[in-house]
Amino acid sequence: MSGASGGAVVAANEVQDANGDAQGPLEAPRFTCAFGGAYAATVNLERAIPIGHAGGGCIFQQVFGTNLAAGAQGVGYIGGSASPSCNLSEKEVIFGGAERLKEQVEATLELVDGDVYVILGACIPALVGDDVPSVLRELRSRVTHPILYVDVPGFAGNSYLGYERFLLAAIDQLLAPVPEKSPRLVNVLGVPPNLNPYWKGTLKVIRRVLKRVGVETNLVFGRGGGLAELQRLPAAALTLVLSPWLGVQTARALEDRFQVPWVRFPSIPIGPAATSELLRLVAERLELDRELVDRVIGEEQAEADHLLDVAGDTVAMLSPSLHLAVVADSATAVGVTRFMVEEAGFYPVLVVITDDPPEEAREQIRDQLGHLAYGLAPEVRFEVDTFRIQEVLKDRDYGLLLASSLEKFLAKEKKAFYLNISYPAHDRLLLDRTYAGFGGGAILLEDVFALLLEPF
Amino acid sequence: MPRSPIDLTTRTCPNREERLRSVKAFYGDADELIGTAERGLPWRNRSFQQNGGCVNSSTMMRLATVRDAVVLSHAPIGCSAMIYGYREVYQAIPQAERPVADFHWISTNLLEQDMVFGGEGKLAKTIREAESRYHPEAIFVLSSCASGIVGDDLEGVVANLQPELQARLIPVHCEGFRSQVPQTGFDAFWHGILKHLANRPGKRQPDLVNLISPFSVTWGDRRELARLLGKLGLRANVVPEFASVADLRRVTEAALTVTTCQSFGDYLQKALEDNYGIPFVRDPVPISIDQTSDWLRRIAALTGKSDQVEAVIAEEVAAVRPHLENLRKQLQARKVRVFINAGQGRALGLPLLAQELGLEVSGISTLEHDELAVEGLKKIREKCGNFKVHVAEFQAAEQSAIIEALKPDVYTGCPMTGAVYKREAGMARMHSFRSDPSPEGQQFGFRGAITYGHVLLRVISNPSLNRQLGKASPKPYRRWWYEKNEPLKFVKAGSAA
Repeated sequence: MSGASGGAVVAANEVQDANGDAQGPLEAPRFTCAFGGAYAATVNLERAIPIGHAGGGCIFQQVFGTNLAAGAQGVGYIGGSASPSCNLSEKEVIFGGAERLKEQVEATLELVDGDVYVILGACIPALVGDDVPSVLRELRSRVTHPILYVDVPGFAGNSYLGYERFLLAAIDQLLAPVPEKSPRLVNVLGVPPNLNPYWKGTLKVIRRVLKRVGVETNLVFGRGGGLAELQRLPAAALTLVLSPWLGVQTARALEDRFQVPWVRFPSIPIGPAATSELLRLVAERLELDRELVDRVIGEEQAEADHLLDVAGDTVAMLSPSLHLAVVADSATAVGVTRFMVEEAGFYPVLVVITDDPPEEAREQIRDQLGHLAYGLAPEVRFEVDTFRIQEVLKDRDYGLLLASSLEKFLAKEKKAFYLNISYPAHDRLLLDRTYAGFGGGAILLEDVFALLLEPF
Repeated sequence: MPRSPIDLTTRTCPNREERLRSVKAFYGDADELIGTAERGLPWRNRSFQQNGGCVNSSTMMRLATVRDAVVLSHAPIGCSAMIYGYREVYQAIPQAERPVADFHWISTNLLEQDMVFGGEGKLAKTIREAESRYHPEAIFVLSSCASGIVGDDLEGVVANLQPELQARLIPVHCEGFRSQVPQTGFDAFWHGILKHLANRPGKRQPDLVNLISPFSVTWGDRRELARLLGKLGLRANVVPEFASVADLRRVTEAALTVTTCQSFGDYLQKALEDNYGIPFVRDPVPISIDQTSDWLRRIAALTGKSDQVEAVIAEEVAAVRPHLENLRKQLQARKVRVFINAGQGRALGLPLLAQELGLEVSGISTLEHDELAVEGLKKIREKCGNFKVHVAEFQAAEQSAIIEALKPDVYTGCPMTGAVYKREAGMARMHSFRSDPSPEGQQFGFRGAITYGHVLLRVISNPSLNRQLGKASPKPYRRWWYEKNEPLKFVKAGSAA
């Protein structure tokens, strides 16, 4: 077979347009289905108990997908094959699954200890037309535990949609207006559990850096979050969306429903320049003490400058303006590219955006990456399909590839250095790692130079 | 009990509930389970269930390593979420042995509009796309819950397209909901391979032995078993893991079919015997010194190699015996009790290896029970005494309760049953299988037995990780669950399957 050498040409009229049509056939896109995204959100909401109203394989698939492929995540409190599931079969396809759901929820409440029980509706109930709302009404009239229902059949769309649907369902079903806003509380959205394999460390860094200027954060997901933080979303003075597009829908809903204004920062802030910008943006919106903010930025910048100075000799000697290609979701891609190009001296060749952003966000991303410092402007591609991504990568030249583990061996063929920065991350154990924040750029350089450093 | 022959003219295989009367819910003594061998057990459902895979997921991963083929998931994109590692798995094979080809998968990516208008058009488009991208020898077309419920005609689309394609199209009917026994998926793809791909043999290759080996049997195991067959002058045709399409085609030309797992190999073994007169060896599987020796004897008897086999076994056993003795001495002194959670082949094989290594078997948890397991259970009973058997598609809560009661010193299990292993007993833990090609993952054959023994000894020597996890991690089930010790509390009364 000639898979690697032949077969590369896809007829122009076939299947996909030039810019990553996500509606057609797909090989290994860098996301899974809506159900998978909502499942990742659920198991990463502390003490939330997922209940799959689904076939026996729907969650099982995610064990390898959204868990292991997201930096070898363990199954945690009740993830993996411990997650409760209706395991719907032919009987429920023919006669409906409402009874089975009721039975499963009751048994789960009896056995599993949690703060909130999250029913995740997959393809089967959506297609056979299970009347889940009436099951919910009946259950809620009897039990006191909070129950959340998220309608996320796999065919509804990708896992980014699932992340957003999870939050929108929570707004509808679990959140209530609060008597008073907390003037120094900010919601952080757009960093999805597991789909961004670096989400845990990233959210922690955002919390730490905002805390330095007196701002508390609702991160919702990860340790210390959970139902309490979820229900505190309406109390915030501001919602901060850390993505060109993901989380915007939820932010708008929080504004409509609970009058929480929102602001978008179009990337994960990586390195001192972007992180300073983020701080100034929040400071302006919350009218923070300018002197305090300036002082914090000054201190953090000085520390980052010092680290870059230490790295400077090595970077300049071993990788003088090394050609760089980036493959990642838009928030990561923009953040990583900006730092590597505008602060660390790398030469941008290509950025492939893999998260299928809506059209208006694409304009903004193109604009941002098209106007980097010193007139540098990489080629920007929007591709979701691994075959197409690899065709593009095979055809360009670069010395460093910051990408997903799907690109690992292609980089070897191209004799380029490779480091994982995006999903899937099958080749890293990711616990607290992040390249976000003032010090994140330095950590990124450490990881990159662990690949290519030798005595010189 | 006479069985009806496997019929390859049908669209797909029967479900295992009917064909093998497989059950998924039992906990008790091995003696009790063996006692039911004649009459079988009634099917029982659970009011509380945890996920454990489906017919589709059982199929996907097993076919995803077939070379020069494309696995086509006719489904929403989530149904292929478990194989994001396909490129890395392939690349991890030692360079010198790596087959020249790559793995490919593609999904029709069914969306809302396809649920309304049907997905047949998109399926045709995706099949053409797969051919134009990769020019594969074969395309496995896997159905799903979504495509099944909307009623897409897989066979019709395939029949229409086949004449214009180079690739052989193989429809695999593996809708997740079709059977409550996910292992039905194994039968579904073997059925598809035999019906649509395999050669209609004129010739028999008398030295060719089909060795059925799933993804979870490592590259090292495969190498070890092929080596042993080689010493008897036999060539192993390893299918389907890392097999080429040509390897799959020639399964009908082999002299014999052997397997690393009774459940995984059953349908192909019987279908080849019933339709092509090829005999098979189901028991034992080649795990442990004793069983590997028996395995070779049975193979030799059916391939005319009986005169050579004792010399081969003697040579192999002599090579590993000092290592085995050494391991046995160290492990026996520690008085280790082991609990094994694995698929059928390992669940029936590892207890005997544990016994050879000087461990006591406290219990096993296996995915399904049916007639295929009876001979293996009897053998373990004979060698190891009575022990507990849990039958469940993982069911982590049940395993937690069982382990809380049995308090084994080491749990050897599957990689995703999280809440089981680290919480309750604070015991040592290791894999019951790994899929990666590193030598440490080996278990099968003579050398695998020693490798596994070494890892076991290592793990038992330092249980600190799981002790720490056991102390520090919160338990997900309510307190009464651990106190009550009634693992089958949520299993309902028996009913027809």
